[in-house]
Amino acid sequence: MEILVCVKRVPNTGQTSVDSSGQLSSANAQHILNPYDEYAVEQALQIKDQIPDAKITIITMGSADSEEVIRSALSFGGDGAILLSDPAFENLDTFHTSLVLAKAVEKFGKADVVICGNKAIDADTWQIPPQLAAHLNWPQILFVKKVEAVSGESIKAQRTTDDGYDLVESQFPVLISVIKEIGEPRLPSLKGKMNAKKVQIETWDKAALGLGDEVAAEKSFVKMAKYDKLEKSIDGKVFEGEAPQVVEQFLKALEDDKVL
Amino acid sequence: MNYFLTEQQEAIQEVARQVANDVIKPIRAKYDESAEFPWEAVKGMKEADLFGVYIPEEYGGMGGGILDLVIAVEELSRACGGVSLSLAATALGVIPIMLYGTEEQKKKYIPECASGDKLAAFGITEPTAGSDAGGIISTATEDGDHFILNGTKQWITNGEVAEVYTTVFMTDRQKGARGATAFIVEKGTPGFSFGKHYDKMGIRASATTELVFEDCKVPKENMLGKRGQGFMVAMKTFDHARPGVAAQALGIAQGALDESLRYAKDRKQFGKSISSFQGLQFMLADMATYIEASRALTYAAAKAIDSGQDRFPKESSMSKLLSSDVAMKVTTDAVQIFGGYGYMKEYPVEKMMRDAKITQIYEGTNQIQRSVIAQNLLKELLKKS
Ligand SMILES: Cc1cc2nc3c(=O)[nH]c(=O)nc-3n(C[C@H](O)[C@H](O)[C@H](O)COP(=O)(O)OP(=O)(O)OC[C@H]3O[C@@H](n4cnc5c(N)ncnc54)[C@H](O)[C@@H]3O)c2cc1C
Ligand SMILES: Cc1cc2nc3c(=O)[nH]c(=O)nc-3n(C[C@H](O)[C@H](O)[C@H](O)COP(=O)(O)OP(=O)(O)OC[C@H]3O[C@@H](n4cnc5c(N)ncnc54)[C@H](O)[C@@H]3O)c2cc1C
Repeated sequence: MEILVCVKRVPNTGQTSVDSSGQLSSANAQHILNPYDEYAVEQALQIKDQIPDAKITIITMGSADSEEVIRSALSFGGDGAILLSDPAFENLDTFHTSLVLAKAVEKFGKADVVICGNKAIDADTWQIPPQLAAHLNWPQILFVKKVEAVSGESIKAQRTTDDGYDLVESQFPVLISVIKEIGEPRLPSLKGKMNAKKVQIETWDKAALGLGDEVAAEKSFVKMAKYDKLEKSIDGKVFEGEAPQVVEQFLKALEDDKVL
Repeated sequence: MNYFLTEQQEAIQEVARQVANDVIKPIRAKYDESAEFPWEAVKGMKEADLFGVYIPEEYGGMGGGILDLVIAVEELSRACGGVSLSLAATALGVIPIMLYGTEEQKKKYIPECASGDKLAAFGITEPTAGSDAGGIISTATEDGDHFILNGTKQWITNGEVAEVYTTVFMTDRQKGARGATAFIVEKGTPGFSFGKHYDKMGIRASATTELVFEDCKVPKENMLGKRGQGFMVAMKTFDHARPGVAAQALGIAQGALDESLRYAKDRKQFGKSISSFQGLQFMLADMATYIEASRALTYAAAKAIDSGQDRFPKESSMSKLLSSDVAMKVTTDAVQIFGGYGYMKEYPVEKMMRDAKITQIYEGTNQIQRSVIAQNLLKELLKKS
């Protein structure tokens, strides 16, 4: 069984700024593995716990700097990695990003399951998983909170809804996106970490994916006109003193604000 | 300070640090209070592959040496010196098998300890034989294909929670120091049971138990090393394992310094951060300096062992002596820096002070370490002259 896990390198969102031209700048931010994608990796590992010969490949679209993030995803346990990198892939909208990913899934060829985190903390669009499934013309199960059963050819998963969940079964191939409820990501193990250092990362560019001029930032349907920093609307309150008094003051404040 | 660790040693440090922070720190106060055995932390260390860092790959380990063990124990002890001991004491039980085991014994016992599926223990101390290990009175009597073990081992770390016990018994009392023999005893062997569970001052998350042998019959294949080599097995084991105790002490001390720095920065008295007072700054500077000195000595001793050099009891003892004395001093100072808060159980430093004390006592008290060091100095002098 072959599992592809889509991960993204994202800026630590607390450290981004808006530059003078109104564009978002993450130049000074530390970059990390999108925390939601840690759940995607964890889900893949949970499947591997049940089907030990399952192979996990990490895939990301991003700059050459993405190696560290790929290795950090691999350190939880993973067998291979693919980096999709090309100058033309910079600043793509979600439609074109998911198109690039879809071409990569097709080139990879053997994936039974593609697993995504349900969103990324930077752009927060939630669009890549459904668009990727659409480009591939694959079934999709989004917002999965639990995989109930998985076999060599199908998966049965709980898809979260507003008032509970749907139990959905799909044959392979299938795309799923997962949410936190699937379980806290395990810690990286020493074997995983050492293995992560050894895995060869394949790099595919535009040409390798058989893509032409249709992918380019200027072809994007969505363009970010301008970012604005939200003015802080409420100041937080700090209560100081001994614990019992602090709790009392805090409860009173909640009552005053009609929260309680 | 850069110790030019290998890629794998750096990975051990990172993984162990994450286990310490994410798994051990949140539960250390609970197990200190209850003195129950922290199986959930053992599971975390096992899943992180930390139990096998010093064990050759052919026996299921990660192929490192004593320095790899030292690094893991140091990082884990930064969070809790009691929890980390379940791993370090397993090493104390496994090392004699690595050193003296037959191929069959190694294959049978080491891999399951390397994976962390089973814990191990080492037992020599008896009620009337502590520093004077040669005074043990437990006996192993030959009986056909077996030995019959009788006696009591006191204060054995990982007692009852371990599955594999390396122990030393008198086989030939009239031969004195050449009359002891080591054995591997499995939990569940008829006649082998557990007595008292000791209530301790510190490292309360570590199990310390009495081992009771009453006509316990073990097959001859369980003899470790040759008949009469028992004390040699024990001494060589301690030579290899003492940097592990040093690492435990080092980790406890580093943990106390970490806490002290943060606290000193935050705490205000006289309208200023207490870290601005020279009196405290000098304390912090001394703590950091002594810790770095013990780290340098401990890593150097571990490297000497890993280099395959023949005898290193002096260096090994020095690392344990210095690191444990430093840990006691640093943790006492940490409580001082925290003032009244440091004396309270809500803060972690009083526990660190209690935990540090044992490192001056077990695997040979620091008086015994000084004796070992001095004897070796004099031996070296004799050789030179
Ligand atoms: C929590 C805990 C865990 C332990 N775990 C284990 C274990 O896993 N396996 C195991 O076998 N043992 C274990 N021990 C035993 C430990 O190794 C002994 O406690 C230690 O060797 C000291 O022996 P003792 O306690 O009998 O002290 P004693 O030997 O009675 O010493 C008492 C005092 O006299 C001093 N002294 C003794 N002889 C001399 C001398 N010749 N010169 C100068 N001073 C001397 C000592 O330094 C000490 O200060 C453990 C002990 C504790 C407390
Ligand atoms: C068990 C217990 C019983 C107590 N009983 C009483 C009681 O009955 N009545 C009562 O009133 N209080 C009592 N106290 C409080 C006790 O007197 C204080 O804890 C003590 O005065 C220290 O204050 P602190 O804990 O706030 O430490 P801090 O003043 O915060 O000191 C923290 C550290 O900073 C150092 N420091 C602070 N200022 C300076 C400076 N200018 N220069 C250099 N170093 C500095 C201190 O020496 C210490 O190492 C008790 C405390 C305890 C723990």
